[in-house]
Amino acid sequence: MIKQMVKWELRRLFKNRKFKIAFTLQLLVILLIIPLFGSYVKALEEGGFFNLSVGGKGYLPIGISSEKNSLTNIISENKRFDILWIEEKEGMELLRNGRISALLVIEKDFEEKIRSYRSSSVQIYINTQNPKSVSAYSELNSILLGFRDGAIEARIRDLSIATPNIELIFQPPTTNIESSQNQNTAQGQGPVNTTNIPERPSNFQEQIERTRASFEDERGGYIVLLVLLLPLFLSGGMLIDLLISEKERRTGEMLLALPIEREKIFYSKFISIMTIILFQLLFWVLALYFFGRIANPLIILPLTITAILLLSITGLIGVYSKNYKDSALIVTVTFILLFLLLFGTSTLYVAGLKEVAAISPLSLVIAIENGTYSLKEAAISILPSLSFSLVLIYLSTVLYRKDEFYFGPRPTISDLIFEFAGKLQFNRKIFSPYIISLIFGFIAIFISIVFEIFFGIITLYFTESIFAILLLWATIEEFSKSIGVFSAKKYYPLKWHEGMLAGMASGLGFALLENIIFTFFTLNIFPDYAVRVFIMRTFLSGSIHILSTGVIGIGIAERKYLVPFFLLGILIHFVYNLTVLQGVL
Amino acid sequence: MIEFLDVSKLFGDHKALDNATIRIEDGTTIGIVGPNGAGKTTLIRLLCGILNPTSGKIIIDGLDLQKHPTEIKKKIGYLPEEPNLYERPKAGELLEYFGLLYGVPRNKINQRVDELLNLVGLSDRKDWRVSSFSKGMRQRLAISRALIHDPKIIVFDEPTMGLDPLTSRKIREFITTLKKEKTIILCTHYMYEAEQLCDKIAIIDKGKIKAYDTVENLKSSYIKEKTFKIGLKGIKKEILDNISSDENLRIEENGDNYLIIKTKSYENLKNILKEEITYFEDLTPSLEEVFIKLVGKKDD
Repeated sequence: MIKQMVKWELRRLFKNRKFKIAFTLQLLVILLIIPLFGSYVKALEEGGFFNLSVGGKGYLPIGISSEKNSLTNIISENKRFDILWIEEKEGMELLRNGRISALLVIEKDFEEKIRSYRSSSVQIYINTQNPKSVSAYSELNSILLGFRDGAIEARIRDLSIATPNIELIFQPPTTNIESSQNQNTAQGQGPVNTTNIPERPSNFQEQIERTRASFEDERGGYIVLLVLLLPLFLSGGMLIDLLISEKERRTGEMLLALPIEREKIFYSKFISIMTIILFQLLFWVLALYFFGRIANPLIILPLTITAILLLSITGLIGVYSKNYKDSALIVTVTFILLFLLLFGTSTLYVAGLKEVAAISPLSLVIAIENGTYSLKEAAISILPSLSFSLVLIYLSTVLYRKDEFYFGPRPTISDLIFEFAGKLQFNRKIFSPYIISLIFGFIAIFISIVFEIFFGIITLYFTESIFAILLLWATIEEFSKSIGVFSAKKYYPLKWHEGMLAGMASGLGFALLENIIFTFFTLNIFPDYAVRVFIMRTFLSGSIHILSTGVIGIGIAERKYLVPFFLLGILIHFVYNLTVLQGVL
Repeated sequence: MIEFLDVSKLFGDHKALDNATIRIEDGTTIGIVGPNGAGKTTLIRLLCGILNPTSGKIIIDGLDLQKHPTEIKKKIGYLPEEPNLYERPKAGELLEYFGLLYGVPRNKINQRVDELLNLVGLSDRKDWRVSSFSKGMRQRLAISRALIHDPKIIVFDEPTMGLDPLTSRKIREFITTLKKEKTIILCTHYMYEAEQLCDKIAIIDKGKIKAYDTVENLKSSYIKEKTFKIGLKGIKKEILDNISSDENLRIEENGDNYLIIKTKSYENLKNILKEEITYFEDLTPSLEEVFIKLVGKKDD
C-alpha cells in the first residue's frame, strides 16, 4: 500500500505547479552555480589561490617592492595580478593615485631568512578608496597564509618539532594608506603577516606546493556542497508542504480513514520526497562527475545521510505544525541553524579542525572528494547523523499517531514533555521522580548543545565577551536540566529534599552523557588525554552539575523559593565555568 | 453489529464525547442528531477509526477497532462533512486511487469506478479534474469514493448540508436505495431528514447521548399527549359534554366549527365524535420538538 501511496504522491508532486516552479528555479540556480564553480576550479588549476573575488587575467594591478624570491614566484603564478616591480616610494605614489590596488613590500633578505628559518616580514599596503584593493588584499592574504602553512609544515617535517613557535598577526585593510603606514610606524608593527621561523631549510618549495595543493583541493570539495545542498534544502520544504497541505485542506482526514497504519502515511510522504532527492542527487553527482567537476561519485553517500537528516527534521516540523503559518517560523529558524551547523562544521573541516568537524556528513563529502577519507572518519560522520535522524523519524511517527495534531487543540511542547514523563513512571512510585529526572538529564545535554550553539553565536557577536558566553551556557544547561525536575513535580508532590534529589539525578544524567561525549571527542583529538579528561570531568564537572541542579531542585519543590534557588544554581555553575577558564582547576 | 461501549474522547481538557454507549444492528439506518459542537462528528470519526478513543471500546462485528483497525476500516465507507477531495486529479483517477488503497482488485477497479460514477450521475465527468467540479458534484464524487470498496457500513456526516434542494433530494433518494443492504449512520442537522431516513435516532448533546430509539418511541416517550385539530359539522353541547367527561381528552381551543384537542388516545376521540368529523389534522409535535425538549434549545 505504501508503494501505491508513494506513486500517488510523486504524481501529485510532479503535477503540482508549486513544485514545478521550485524545481525550475532550483535548476536555474544550480546551473548558474556550476559555471561559477567551474571558473574557480579553472583558476585553481591555473595555479591561482581560491578567492571569492571576481575578475579575469590582469584584473588586479599590484606593486611588489622586492627581489624575486619563492613568494613572489607564487604570486606571479596568479593570473589575476598584473605585477609592477617597483621601489617602495614609487609604489606608494601609484597606490595613492589608484594605479595599483595593493603594494607588497618584502624584506631584501627574505629568501635567505626563510630558508634559515628566521623571522621575516611582508607588508601589504592598500588604498581602500580603490574598490579593487579589498580583492587584492584578500588574494594576497590567501597566498601568504598558504606560504606560512607551507613553511610550518616544512619545519615540522625537517626538524621533527611537534610545536613550532609561530607568530601570525593579521591586520584588516585600513581605510587609507596613510593611516595604515602611520599605524605601522607608531606601533612598530611593520608586517601584516610575520613568520618567525628559526634555523635550517630543506625541500621548502615542495612543502609549500603541497600545502597549497591541499588548500585548493579542499576548497574545491567545499564548493561541490554549495551545488548539491540546494536540492536538499528545497526538498525539505516540499515534505512540510505535503504534510501540512493535508491538514489545511482536510484531505488527510480521508487518509486517516484508510485501512492503513498511520505511520505508513507519514512514511509514504517521507519516501516520496526522499526518492526525489535521491534522483536529483544522482543526477547532479553523475553530471558533475561526467564533466570532471567532482572526483568521486561516492559523495552521494554522505549527501544522502544529510538528506535523511534534513528530511527527518522537516518531517517533524511538518507533523507538529498545524498550518503553513505555524511551520514558516520554525522552518526558517531550523534551516538557518541547520545551515550553520552543516556549513559551519565543513568550514571548520576546511580550516583544518578536522577532528571536531568530522561529525558532519558534509565533512565526509570533502574528505571523499580529496581522497583522504577513512572508514573511521566515515563512521564518525555518518553514525551520529543517522542515529539522530532515526530518533526524529520515530518522534514524528509518534506525534503523527496522535489525534490532536490533526483535529484537536495541539499539545504544547511542555504538554508533550510532561506526557513523556508520565510514561516514564515506575511501578514503585518512590523511585519514579528520580528516574524521570535522570532520563531528562540525558536528554538535556542535546537540548543544551543546540541552544548553546545558537545563542552562543549571537551572544558572542553582540558582546564579544567570554564571560557572557559562560553565563549563558550555565543558564541554558541549568534550564535544560531543570525540565526533568519540573516534569517529576508535575506527577509527584515533591518536598524540598525530594526536589533536591530529583535535581541531583538530573544533574547526574546530564554529567554522565556530557562526559561520554567529551571523552569521545578527546579520544579522537588527544587520545593520550582521554582517560585523564574522563576522570577529571567525572569528579569536577560531574559534582558541579549534581550540586547546581540539586539546589535548583529545592526551588522547584518549594515554589516560593524558585527564583532565588534557580539563580543560586546558575551562579554555582557560572563560578565553576569561570574557574575552569582561569585555569584554577 | 456496531457497539460503542462507554466511549469517551478528550481533546486536551475538553470532553468531546462522554461515556457514549450505543448498539447498532446490522442493516439499520441510524441518525445522529445534535446541536453544533455536541460531539456528533467526534462520534462518527471514532467509529471510522479516524480518532482513537480516550477510554471505552468500539466493537464492530465482534472485533475491537483499536486492536484490528485495518480489518475493520475496510468495512466502512466514510463521507466527511466537507468532501475533502484532492483538486488536481481527475474524478476517475481519484476513485481509482482510493479503490486500490481500500483493496479493490486492480482488474476490477475500472468497472467499479464506472459503476459508481454512473450511480451518482457523474459518468460523463470521469476525465474532468476535481477542481472543475461544483459543490454538489464534489459531494456526489465523495459519496462514490465512500462506496468504492462496497463497504458494509456507510457513515455520512451532514451529506446534504449547503446543497441546493434538488441535489439534497437526490442524495436522500440515493441513501434510501442504499438502506436496503447497508448499515447506515447518518449524522445530520435536519430533523426531517433524520425522521424520513432513519430507523433509529441518537440525540447527542455536550458529548452525551441523551436518547437513542426509534422515531415513534422517541416521540411517545417525550411527548405524552397527541394534538389533533378536528373539523366538525357543528359544535353541539352534547359533544362538548362528552369530551369534558373523558379524563383523557382536553380541549385546547374551541373554534367556530373545529376543536383542537389533546389526548393520549385517538380512539376515544373517534368514538365520541363519530360521523361529526369533517376533517382531521394531526398537530402532534415533530422530532424537532423532542430534540428541543432534550437539548433545551433550538438547534442553530
